[in-house]
Amino acid sequence: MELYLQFAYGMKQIAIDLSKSWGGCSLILSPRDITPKQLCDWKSSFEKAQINCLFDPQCYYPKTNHKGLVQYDYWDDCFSTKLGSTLTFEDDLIKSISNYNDVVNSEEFIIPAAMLNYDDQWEQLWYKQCSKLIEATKKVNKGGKLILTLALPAELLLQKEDEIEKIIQIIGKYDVDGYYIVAHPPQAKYLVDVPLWLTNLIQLSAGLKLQGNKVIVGYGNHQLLCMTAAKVDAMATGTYLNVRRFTNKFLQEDSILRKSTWYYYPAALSEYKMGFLDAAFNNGVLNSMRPSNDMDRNYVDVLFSGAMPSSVRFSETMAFKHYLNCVRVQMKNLSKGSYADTISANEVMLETAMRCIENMEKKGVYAQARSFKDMVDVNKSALQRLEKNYGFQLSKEWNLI
Amino acid sequence: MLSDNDIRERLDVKVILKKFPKSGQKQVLLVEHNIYGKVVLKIVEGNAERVMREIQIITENKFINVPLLLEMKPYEINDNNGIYIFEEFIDGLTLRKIISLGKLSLPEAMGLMESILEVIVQMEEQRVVHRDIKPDNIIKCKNGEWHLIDFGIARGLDLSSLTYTEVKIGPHTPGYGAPELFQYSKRDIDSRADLFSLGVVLFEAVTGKHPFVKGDELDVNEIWYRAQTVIAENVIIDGDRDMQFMGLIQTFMQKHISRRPRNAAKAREWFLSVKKHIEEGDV
Repeated sequence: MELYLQFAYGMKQIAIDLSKSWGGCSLILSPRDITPKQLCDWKSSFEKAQINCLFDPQCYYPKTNHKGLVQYDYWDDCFSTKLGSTLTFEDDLIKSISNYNDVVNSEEFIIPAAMLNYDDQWEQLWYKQCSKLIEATKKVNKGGKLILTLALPAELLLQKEDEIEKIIQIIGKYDVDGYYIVAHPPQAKYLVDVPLWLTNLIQLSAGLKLQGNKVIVGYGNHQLLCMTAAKVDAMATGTYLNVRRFTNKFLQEDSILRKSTWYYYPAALSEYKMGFLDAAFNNGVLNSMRPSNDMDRNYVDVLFSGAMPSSVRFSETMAFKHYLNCVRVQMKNLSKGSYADTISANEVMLETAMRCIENMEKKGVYAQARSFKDMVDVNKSALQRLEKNYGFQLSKEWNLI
Repeated sequence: MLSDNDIRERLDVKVILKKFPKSGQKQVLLVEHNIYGKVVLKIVEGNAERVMREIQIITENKFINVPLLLEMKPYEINDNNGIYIFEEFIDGLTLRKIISLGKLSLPEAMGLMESILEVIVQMEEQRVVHRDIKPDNIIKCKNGEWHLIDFGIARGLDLSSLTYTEVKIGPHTPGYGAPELFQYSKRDIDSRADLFSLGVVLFEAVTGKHPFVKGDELDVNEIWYRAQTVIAENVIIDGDRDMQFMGLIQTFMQKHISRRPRNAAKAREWFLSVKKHIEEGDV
């Protein structure tokens, strides 16, 4: 599994720096956070940094009037996309999106989708919408891979597994190269403590992979490292929480609240505020929170310089770079040559995380809202269901998918 | 129905060796024919569209390990009309009989799976689904080869359906038919339905127990319910290294189509990988 960067407000330089440091990367651009002019202006900087750009049209809520989105010509000035207003709206929409894909030289065409409310009409509406948009895209596509957005409301992923299998079965008939899964978490939670949601997401991904599709999971975070077990091709994550999990903030102005800087302790899969790093310092356990050598790019040196963490200048930018770099390395470490080894690596990572969290708690060091403690069992449960229902298939197809 | 005398005189039959229980308009007999020798005779009264479909499927595709069709003609004798078919007689025991004598060993079961998978792969290439794979329709002949018989409810996926669209339950044998057959989502029916049935047959053959049917079911609804909901237990089979063979059987028996191998060719590929793993210890 590869790490894609999910573009967020103010992320240009971070993406460029990280890509240079990694020798290239893929970036999913967000019209919410970048103007059409910037798209043109920044193109060469991205190219120089070996950034492969994808363009997510973000049509999740087509009737929104988000100030960033309405600058794009597939949104009209009456605060809506042209969705549904003309007989050829899909063709018009896709043509316009295609132009923006051309601007950034994207090799993959993300076909948009709306985040439809889940009810008994959902499947029918979703199928109709996707079919039309795929057809419209085929008319303008110039040979790029077609990646269909699967915008999944939280309620759908909380249904019984039968519903998910039904979707896998229907999707198998679409003529596209891959899927960009955007899953709305229940109650917009950053870390999801509902096993069924994660179980359905990982099984959906596995089912799509086994059909030979490329699968990119968007708006993710370190909880989705378990997607390595479904041989997902890429998981995208970014800086602020609004790109580390999907929210409906496309509906209104999306202000970034900067309350605290968090330090990601990779072995614990948890993030800590400066105050608790101070507690770790005072209890003599701060150094055990340092990333292992393979993850250490000196972004966090200042925290481990011997001074009280809250007294040093650990910038938000460094915290983001550290987070993204660690997740990328963890992803690589989990992606093994066989299904069995990948499952084992995931299990070891979860066990280690639990031990680290508990050790820290014994020393009065708490991750509070960003503790992975309750998520360890959730992830284990999802992996168990994956093993039960898709383990055999994945083990046989591992090197072919 | 034709009398024994009519059969002997008008259909060139020397001796009627055995009569199988009549099913609907269909009568099956084992006979000694004057030219073909020992053969199976199927007589179907009236306008037997489904039987014509069976014949069409078998004659158009020469499947291996499937009885050959020797002769098929319409008849009109006295007031009776219909069609008769002479079919190759596979001299051996049904899998049902074999299971009643004892469980299959792992090598025997692997041989059975390989043979029937080959037939399913061939059928898939011709876009045919058997829909009635069960121990009664599998025969082990004296040279040890396994044969699949009775294409009575087979479906050519490119042929028009003989079942009315409004019908909610498609033809199958309860306990062996895949959920999509009795839920009758026609668009979902393909060779993966046969893989499901093969999984059930294999489970029964190696464990001696049916995975869903206990025998105390009060009616067919209960069997359908169990086939949809009961997950068969993982049983350890002697010699099944890392439970790979049981894993493959379980995968075939997945309730959801999307969790089975995506086609029969893929199922055969996985089978060969399992076989290699068991026989040579390769991963």
